[in-house]
Amino acid sequence: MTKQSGKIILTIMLAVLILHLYKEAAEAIPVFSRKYKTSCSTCHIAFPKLNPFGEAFRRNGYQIPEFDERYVKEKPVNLGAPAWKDAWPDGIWPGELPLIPPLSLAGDFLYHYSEDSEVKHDFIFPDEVELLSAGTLDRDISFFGSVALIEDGNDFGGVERFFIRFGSLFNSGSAGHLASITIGQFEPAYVPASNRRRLTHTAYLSNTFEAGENNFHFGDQRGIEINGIMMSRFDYAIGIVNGNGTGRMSSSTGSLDNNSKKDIYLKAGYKFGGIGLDGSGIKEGEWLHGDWKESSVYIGAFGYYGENRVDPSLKLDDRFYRYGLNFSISYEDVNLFGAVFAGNHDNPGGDFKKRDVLSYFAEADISIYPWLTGVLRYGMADTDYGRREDEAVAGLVALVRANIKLIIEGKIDTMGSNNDNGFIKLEFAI
Amino acid sequence: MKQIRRLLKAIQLFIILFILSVNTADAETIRGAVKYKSEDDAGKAVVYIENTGGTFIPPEKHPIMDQIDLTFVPYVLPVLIGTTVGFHNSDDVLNNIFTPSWAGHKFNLGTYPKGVVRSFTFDRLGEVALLCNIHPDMEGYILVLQNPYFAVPDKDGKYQIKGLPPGVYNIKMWYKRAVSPAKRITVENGKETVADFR
Repeated sequence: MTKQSGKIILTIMLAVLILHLYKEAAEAIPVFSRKYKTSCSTCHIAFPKLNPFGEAFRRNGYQIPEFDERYVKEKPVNLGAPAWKDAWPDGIWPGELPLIPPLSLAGDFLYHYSEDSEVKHDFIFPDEVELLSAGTLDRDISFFGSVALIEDGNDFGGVERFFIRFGSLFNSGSAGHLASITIGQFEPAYVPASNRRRLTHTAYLSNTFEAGENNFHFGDQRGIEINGIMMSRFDYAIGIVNGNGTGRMSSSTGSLDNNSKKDIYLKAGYKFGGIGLDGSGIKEGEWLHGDWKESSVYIGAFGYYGENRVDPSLKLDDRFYRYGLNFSISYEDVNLFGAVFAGNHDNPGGDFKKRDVLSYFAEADISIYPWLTGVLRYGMADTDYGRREDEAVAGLVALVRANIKLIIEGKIDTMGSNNDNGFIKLEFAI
Repeated sequence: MKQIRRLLKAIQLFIILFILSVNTADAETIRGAVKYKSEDDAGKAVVYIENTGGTFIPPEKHPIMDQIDLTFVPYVLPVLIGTTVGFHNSDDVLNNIFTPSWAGHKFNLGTYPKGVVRSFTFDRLGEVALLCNIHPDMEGYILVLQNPYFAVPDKDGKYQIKGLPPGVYNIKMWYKRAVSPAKRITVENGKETVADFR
């Protein structure tokens, strides 16, 4: 075979592969929709915000509680017959692989109006392109990964979340959800309102604010979390994390953590009414539909204790804590949720001055039509530096299709510093 | 003399008819249906009568567990305790058969080519999982039972168990390693007993 004919064959093979991938993509909808052959609305009010069923599905390790096997339309490849469990330790414990690589692509185009910017109107096309993957490796082992291929218009965002979860550590009857362990880079359970599952373009101020030089905020972390559900209604989580987010390796320590201290957290909550946190209360055969209205109240409490480096050159650390309450009330077409939390830092500015922090927010999501949701939010963060931030967000979220979303949103700085913003965002996932 | 012979023949005929009638009355039928969760589940269930007491003679003809297209065929083979099963390999490739199950003495029949038959006699009650250490996807089961009153439901889920004497019994279903709770049934002369499994 000549070099040229080899190149031709390689080109043809690549073309065939690309055509094949294109065909898959053209038919594709995100990972779980494909796996169960169901619409996004089965789990989402409007993606990525989860409805009660989606929440139970997530907590169950991305599987339908109890009856998962019956609903899986795309049967996985078995890595060993189930009876190999009997052969252990003389054989490998059986697992499974998704038949089609469980990949999804999500992205958005953002128009941004900024009152105080030199460029008041900006087309950020695309704003973010994200590669998502999630699935199961066995009945009680699941994984999730997301990589931001493009972030803020042109940056490579890197790995956002990447974790593996071992569920049902005590797998017997009602104790099936008692304890699960998550290892990796994930959004810890103490975060009162998930950044990853919000409806708006604007992130929660309560999640993003930082105190002084301490870069801790309510976001993704690297660590280990044990969480579970008791009696279908009570949930808890306890975790240990680096505490400094998911940034690059620290130049001062040569490690991903910026000091030797690990941060710890705890959360607990209880849900009154509606379906159980583990999905209990839904009859078999009623799982896959998109109408999950319920009347329920969830109340939770959380605490976080950590130590983070604020001055790498002098190796100064800041010890801090947070504690707070969060709630979520659902009634008919309205979901009202929020949180209030306080805390203290002993050295956030590297000047050994103690500072208190206080933050709260409340949001109402009102389902006007199944495809249209109105959002109203107010949030405040006070870091005791004499600077208080607050903002009001109002928006409309419309599902053009189950996997195409349009957000029209305004963010008003209620302190009146001419920092108002407007967003129109077209988001999709395949 | 001729009359005596006729009388003896008549008595003989009467005895034969009596025995036949008694046997027919005792050989009642249990029938029912199993509701499969999917079409793939056909052939993966066994309905059986729990301990009936007594002992039974295993069949002389050895039932067969085959390996066809890298699959154990049938998926589950119920047998009476003491039965010898012939393990065939109908594939063009080598297959191995072993079990990690206590009820199968954790046997390993080795790896053998097409045409070879190896046997094993099952003398312990219970479920025997069959595996192939060359093809880890392969999985089959031998269900070793105390009595011969069992059936593998057909593709529609229907089954029949014949020959069970009148009495009160527990009937169960084995389904992909799960065993259903026992159903209490009464088998009566001349009556059909129905037991469905959902």
